[in-house]
Amino acid sequence: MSDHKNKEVNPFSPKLSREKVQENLMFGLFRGMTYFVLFCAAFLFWDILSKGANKIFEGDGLINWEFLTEHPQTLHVIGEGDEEIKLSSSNYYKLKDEKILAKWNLFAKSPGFTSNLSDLDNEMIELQKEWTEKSLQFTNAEFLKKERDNISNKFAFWSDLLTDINASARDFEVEPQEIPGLVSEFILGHFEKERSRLPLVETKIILFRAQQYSNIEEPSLNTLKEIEKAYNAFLMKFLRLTTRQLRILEMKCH
Amino acid sequence: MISSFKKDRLIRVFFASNAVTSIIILGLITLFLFKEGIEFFGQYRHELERYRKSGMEYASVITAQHDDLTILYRYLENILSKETEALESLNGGGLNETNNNDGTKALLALSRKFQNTKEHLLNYEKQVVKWAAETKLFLLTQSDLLEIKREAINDSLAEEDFPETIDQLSNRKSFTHKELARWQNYFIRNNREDLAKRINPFVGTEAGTAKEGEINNLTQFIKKSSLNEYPAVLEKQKNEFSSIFTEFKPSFILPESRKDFANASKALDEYLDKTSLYKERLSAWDPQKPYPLSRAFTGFLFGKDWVTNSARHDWFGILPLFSGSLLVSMIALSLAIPFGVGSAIYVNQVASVREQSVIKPCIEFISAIPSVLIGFFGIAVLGGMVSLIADERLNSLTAGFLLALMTVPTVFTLAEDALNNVPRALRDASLSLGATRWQTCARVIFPSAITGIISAVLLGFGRVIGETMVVLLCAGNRIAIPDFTTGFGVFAQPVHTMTGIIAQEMGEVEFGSIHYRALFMVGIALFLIALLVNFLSQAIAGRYKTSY
Repeated sequence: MSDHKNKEVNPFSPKLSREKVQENLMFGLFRGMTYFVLFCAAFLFWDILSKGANKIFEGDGLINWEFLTEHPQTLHVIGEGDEEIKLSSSNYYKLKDEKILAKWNLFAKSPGFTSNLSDLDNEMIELQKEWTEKSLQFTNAEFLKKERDNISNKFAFWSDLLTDINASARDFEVEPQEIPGLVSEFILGHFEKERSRLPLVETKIILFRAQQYSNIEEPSLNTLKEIEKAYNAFLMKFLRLTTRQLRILEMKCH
Repeated sequence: MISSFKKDRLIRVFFASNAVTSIIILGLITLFLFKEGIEFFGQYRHELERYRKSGMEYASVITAQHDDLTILYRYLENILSKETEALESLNGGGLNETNNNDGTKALLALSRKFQNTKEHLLNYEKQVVKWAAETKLFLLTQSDLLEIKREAINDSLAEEDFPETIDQLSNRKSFTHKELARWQNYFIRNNREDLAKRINPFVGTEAGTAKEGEINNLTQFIKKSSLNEYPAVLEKQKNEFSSIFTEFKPSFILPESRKDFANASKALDEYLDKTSLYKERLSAWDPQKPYPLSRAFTGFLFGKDWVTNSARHDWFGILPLFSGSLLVSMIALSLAIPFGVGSAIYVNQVASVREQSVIKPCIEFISAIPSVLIGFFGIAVLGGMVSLIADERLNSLTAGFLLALMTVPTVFTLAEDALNNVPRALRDASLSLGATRWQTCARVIFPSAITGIISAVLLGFGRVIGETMVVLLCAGNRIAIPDFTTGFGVFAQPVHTMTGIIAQEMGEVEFGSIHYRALFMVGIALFLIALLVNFLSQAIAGRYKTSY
């Protein structure tokens, strides 16, 4: 009893007053907050490092050199379930080449392979000969002639439409006054097609169409002749130029 | 002596020139930002005027009205689905519920009739939108033609087959495709492909124009329809609604369905009352009424929509982005302030010297983590954790948590400095008077450092609101004002932010377009916020400095 009394009055015994409890609680809370922030940062680091390290140390050797040194590649997944294999692009193509080579070796050993190969070789030589004989210049001369014939047929057709407007109107089931508009649409449509067909002279064709636009918009027999003449001159000038360029290219290739 | 004086002067000039260069560069950047952004308002006003002139404004009123009806229809559908479910469960129990079956069938017939009646308005809306779309294309073509005609006049191009004057072009109500093709070829002939490219001779053909081979201004059609067609549609709807609701004999399985149906009838009455308001609004619509410039300002500052590449109209309201930024910042700060300041107090007042030497560099090191790495962590790990308590993986909460982690070092470092700067005498005096360490800390040191801590918080806010990568990756990027009526659910909503939208869209916009300038305006808003935050923190820090 007396001991207990002495303890109470002893000024050196540790006192757990309300203030002390509050202090412990508050500082404990702050300590908790501080270590929670550190824990979050550590967790972030650990997560990134562990997942990253997994990739670096995977594979046969200690370090995955392929991952560290090669370019980023598409991951190829072959097979399903237990047979699933994950390969980088380079390994995938390496494996593919190996498989093709194995198949080829098997095929090359098959009977009749050598004779078939020699037939194929002869055929190739014949083809090569034929291709060399038909020079590009010859093909281009043909092309120019074909173009001129084609355009002359087209203009003849459009002229016919304008020559007998009533018959054309009956054929197309429109009013006679709509025929020039129809011819105009045909000509514009032709140039639209030419643009995509002859990409080397596309801008020139656009410019030609723009220059002849007033004639094309309201065509008559006379204006049609003018357009045809101008277009023939245009073809001669620009297609020849283009073919010359192609010829130079051909010579360089040879 | 002389050479050392010269050397000092040279060093001074070197540093002064560095400072001046920095200030000039900063000034030029600010100037560029404002120059590019400020033109937005003129362009936006012009766009809003086009929105009105084309009739899209009129169409949007009809759309809003139709949306009201759709909500009502969904409500009826909801009652129907509950009733059908109840009927199926009854039939599953082996009971023959013919009456109930008839009741559900009647409800189904009512919903179908309601939908058919609703479609009168939908068809009218489609017609108006078609007219407005053609008018919009016409106005765009006209504005382009006026611009290129002006350039042709300035460059003294021969008139040839483009003799129309500026006034004639301005007064036109239609353009034929033929004349557009003629004008396009006129510019090609004159070696102005750049101008020729701005003319599309087939404009409007894809959507189908009112008259084949031409594009028209159809606002008169729209205006006329507001006086004839629209009232007729409303009248027809009113009659049909009243007849289908009168004919319907309600027989429900679920007691709450009766109540829901009564609510639906009430909502329909309210809608029918509201139609007169729509009617009034539409008949008062004037396509020629100018839009004041102030509407462009208010439209940007208080606009609730940020819609780009829309077929109808692009809206550039900053409110959804600002509210998104603010929500994410608030979440981040509500975590970063207690953790940052708490850690600062702990390290400064409680931790041992050894603990301090470990904790301080560790916390400060967090700020060195690249933000893209934190964002990556958010997508890969934290998003999954957040999805346990929210519907979406990426939302304001995910972004807020990560931003809090990024802001803790800023708040911690500055708050710790502020606590460090409190004179030791104050602490000693408090302790010698018998106060505990906590009492000293809470009542003497913390209040003395409060200005520095507030400054730290403000700088933390500046850090959060200016952060881009984490919000772009983790905030969900849904451009809408968060729904604050959902209570705590608001934290689980995906948002988009001011910084995020700049990073996401700046790479794809056409240089000089309204969208480009709108993004600059968002940049200016961010710049002003950052300026304000810095100004406040400096002002507070200044006060703090003068105290001791």
